[in-house]
Amino acid sequence: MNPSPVIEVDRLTKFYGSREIVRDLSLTVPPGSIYGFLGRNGMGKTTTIRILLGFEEPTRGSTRVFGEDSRKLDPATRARIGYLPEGHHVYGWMTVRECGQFQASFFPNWNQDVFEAVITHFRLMPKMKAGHLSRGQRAGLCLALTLAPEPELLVLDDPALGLDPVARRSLLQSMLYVTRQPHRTILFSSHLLSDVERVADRIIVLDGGTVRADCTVDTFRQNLRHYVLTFRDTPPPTPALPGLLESFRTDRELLLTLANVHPETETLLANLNPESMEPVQMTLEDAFVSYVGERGEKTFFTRDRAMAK
Amino acid sequence: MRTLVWKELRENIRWALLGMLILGATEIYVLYGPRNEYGPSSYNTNDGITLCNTSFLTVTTFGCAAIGLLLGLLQVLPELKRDRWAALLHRPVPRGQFFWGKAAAGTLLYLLATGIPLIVSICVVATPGNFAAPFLPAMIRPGAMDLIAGLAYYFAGLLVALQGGSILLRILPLFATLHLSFAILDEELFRVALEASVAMIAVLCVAGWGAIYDRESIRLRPWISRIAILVVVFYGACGVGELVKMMGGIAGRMGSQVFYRWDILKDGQPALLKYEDDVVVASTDSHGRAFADTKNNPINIRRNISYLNTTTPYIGESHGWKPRFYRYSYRESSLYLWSYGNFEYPEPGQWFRLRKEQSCVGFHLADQREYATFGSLGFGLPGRHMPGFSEDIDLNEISGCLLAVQSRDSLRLVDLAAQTIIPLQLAAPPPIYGTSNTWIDLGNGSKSFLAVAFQTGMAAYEENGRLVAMLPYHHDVSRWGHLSLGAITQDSFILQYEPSEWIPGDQARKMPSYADLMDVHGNVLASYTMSPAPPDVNPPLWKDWIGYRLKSPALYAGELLYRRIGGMLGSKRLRDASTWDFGPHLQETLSVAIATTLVGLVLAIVTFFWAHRAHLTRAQVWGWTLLVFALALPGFVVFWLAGERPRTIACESCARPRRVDRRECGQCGAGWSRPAPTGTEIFEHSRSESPAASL
Repeated sequence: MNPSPVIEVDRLTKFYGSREIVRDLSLTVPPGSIYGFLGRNGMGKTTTIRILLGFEEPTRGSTRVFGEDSRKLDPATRARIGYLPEGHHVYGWMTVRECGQFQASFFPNWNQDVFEAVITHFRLMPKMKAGHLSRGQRAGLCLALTLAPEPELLVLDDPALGLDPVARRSLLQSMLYVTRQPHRTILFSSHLLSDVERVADRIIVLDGGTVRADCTVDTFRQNLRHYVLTFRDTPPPTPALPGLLESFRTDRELLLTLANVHPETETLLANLNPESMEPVQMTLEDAFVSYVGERGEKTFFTRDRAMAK
Repeated sequence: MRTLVWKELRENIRWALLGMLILGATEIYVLYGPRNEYGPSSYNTNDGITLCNTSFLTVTTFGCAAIGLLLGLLQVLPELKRDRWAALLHRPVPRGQFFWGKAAAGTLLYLLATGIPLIVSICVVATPGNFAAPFLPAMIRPGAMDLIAGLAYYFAGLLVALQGGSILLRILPLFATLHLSFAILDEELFRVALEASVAMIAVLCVAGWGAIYDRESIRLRPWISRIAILVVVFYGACGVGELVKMMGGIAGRMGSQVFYRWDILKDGQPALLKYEDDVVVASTDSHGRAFADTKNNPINIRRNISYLNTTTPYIGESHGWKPRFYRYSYRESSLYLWSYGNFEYPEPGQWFRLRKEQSCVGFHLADQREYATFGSLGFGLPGRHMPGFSEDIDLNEISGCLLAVQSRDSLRLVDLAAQTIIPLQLAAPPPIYGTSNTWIDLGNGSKSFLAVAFQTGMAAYEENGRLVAMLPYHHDVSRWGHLSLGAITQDSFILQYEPSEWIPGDQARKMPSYADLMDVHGNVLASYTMSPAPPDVNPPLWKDWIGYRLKSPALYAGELLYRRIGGMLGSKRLRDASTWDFGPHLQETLSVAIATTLVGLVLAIVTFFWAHRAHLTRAQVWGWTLLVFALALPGFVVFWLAGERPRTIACESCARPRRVDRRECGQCGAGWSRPAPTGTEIFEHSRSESPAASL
């Protein structure tokens, strides 16, 4: 028997004014899993998270956390959820210790050891003013405040947003160790796949408000291919190919990124009579950028421009 | 909860302290006011005394409101950035606790910011030697009322910050508190003002508490909070109406205001003056002839009416002895004490009559300290208040430092400078109906007389208490009991009789009035009968005319019914009002009733179609329509700002608009199509996931 899912989203739709931010989104997050919630900015990740936690009302559809309607989350259920919103907000006038004390007063399962361990990891002193911390330190403090209540579900909304590469790496590294526990479910949003690939078991990619991918990182990587077709002359226009994500035409080459490539797709490509056709290994980041980037053909011709002159 | 309160206190104490300093400094500054040689120059009763001074109350009214509003806004707005707000609310406590935490801390901070300055002001006023005026605890009321009303502004500030939606909806709580301010400034009774403030605070508080549950959607709030926000919006609409009405005052009247008054000229001759917009435009004598003598023509005298030496105040009521008091508001110092003119002998000083104690107290203006007291047993030392007069008394200032103390059966002349009280010999048996003063201009000064109305005649006393004249009545004072005495020369007086105040207005307007010129022996030198003055032409102000017609028909009907039933149950005030509504005022009553019903009907029809087009449910459409019909314009504003406006888009199936928040199209019943696959989707179902739940 499958355990009850921690998060259930059923055909969620959200409008802001006349703008549809999330469209017909459904997903289920089972307990103990770590989900990377990916998508470009403005694709509805934060909105979905805010609806999940009851801060916004869905226009249509429903969301449930631990089986409870998100709109009416019981305080006891909320105590089981750790939420780290983007922006790493702390009360600047409080010291690190006061931040902990303030947070501890609300959470019955507050674990001071966890709090101290995380702030020590980030080299924070209890007497430091929260307002004087660097961005990375503030992110660390927020992580400590989120983890110390020992939540069963962790919802991290782009925790590395706005951090420099070093702080980003430091935060993600620490998260890798401190967040993973046998019965802890994590939903971790980001607009960069590199942030989540080492942490997440599965990824969900949002694009245009809908789920475009829900799979493991490996499956995602395997399902994306990049081809470089070289021609003797100017490449022909990009044909209508199933699963085409992106094409790039230059004077001699046609570069194609495709999803879910079937043998028939390769036959279609061969029919274009390229001089050579070779599949190229993509990095995961490149694959993700192609996947969520602009669709359609892009061109870059130097020869035509020279001839026109 | 305690932690929340602590956090709010720590976060906002600086604003409260800043407000406290500014308000405190301003209150103390205006309390002392622009000082003259001896102290505040504003010991004129009309300006209010110390804690009831208009400048002081202006500061408390605006200061408390501004501090309350700013504190409310500052407590929420900086934290409202969506992630910061979410970080605050994502804590395992009921959502309402965040509101109560903020409200408890905010109320404490507000009381600190406004209460301390008020307490300091009270202490300053109550400390002997600071002001040449007595301190009465009851005089705290207006300032305290402003402080309480400011708390409504605090909760309005919280609500303005918490409420989502259109800017108009968000600022309406401000107008609701503005409506409250108008009400408490107009109200006479402290108790009623207090009740109104407490009720408004409660409503705003409940509305704010609900808003923290869901800022955008009123529908998702607790039911009591939904009602509260509707009440706030309603009163907000009324507040906007008040403001518009106030500004509409510049539109003036729907025509010129014309009224006629009989007045007495310098030579003792009556003249009927026609006023148009407060300017004398014509005058006739008692025979209806226009004045030929331009020198005496009152048109030439114009506004110099006081020169005519008539005593304009009411001095007698023969229908039954009852001391008459103008009903003062709790905001006026006259409700608590009355000041009498400065006098110079033996030292500059000022006297006050304490209305509740029925005694008087005098202050030196030089050292601002109590100088002497007097009561029923005479003058006493400072600090030792003499027992008050046991009966209802009326004090009349004859001149500088001379007061007439009149009770039903006695008359005393008080010399404040000499600190003597002389019982005056009554010129006729009691009761005494009233006293007033009159004077005559002698060119190089003036001479004052005390006029005393008895059952059989009017006596005139000189300033030293000597009886100068006893003028017998020559008309029925039980019906013409509104008496005025004017000194024409040192040896002749004119006694004017006008219809008693107890006679209903429509009857009184048809009665003539009389004036007898008499010598000091009571011999009539000339007698005048003044025909009833033509009725006043009093066209309403545009703002009132429009305001009445935009009233809620339900509330207007309720008002008429309330007066009718109240009158039937024995209330004279309500019976009089009802008689007026359905008597001389019937045409206006009907006109207002028809207009309010029509306006309600038109707005209800607009609402019906608007609600229908907005795709509200049938129950909602009819509910709003009926509400708007009952409340007219305020109801329409409530619907406009607080009514649900579901978003619609064209249905893919039938192309007609459909609500985006419903699963099925209201027209054709079609569901929503799933996003079209692009062929780039990558799905791999996890083992624990049911395929149906995923795309």
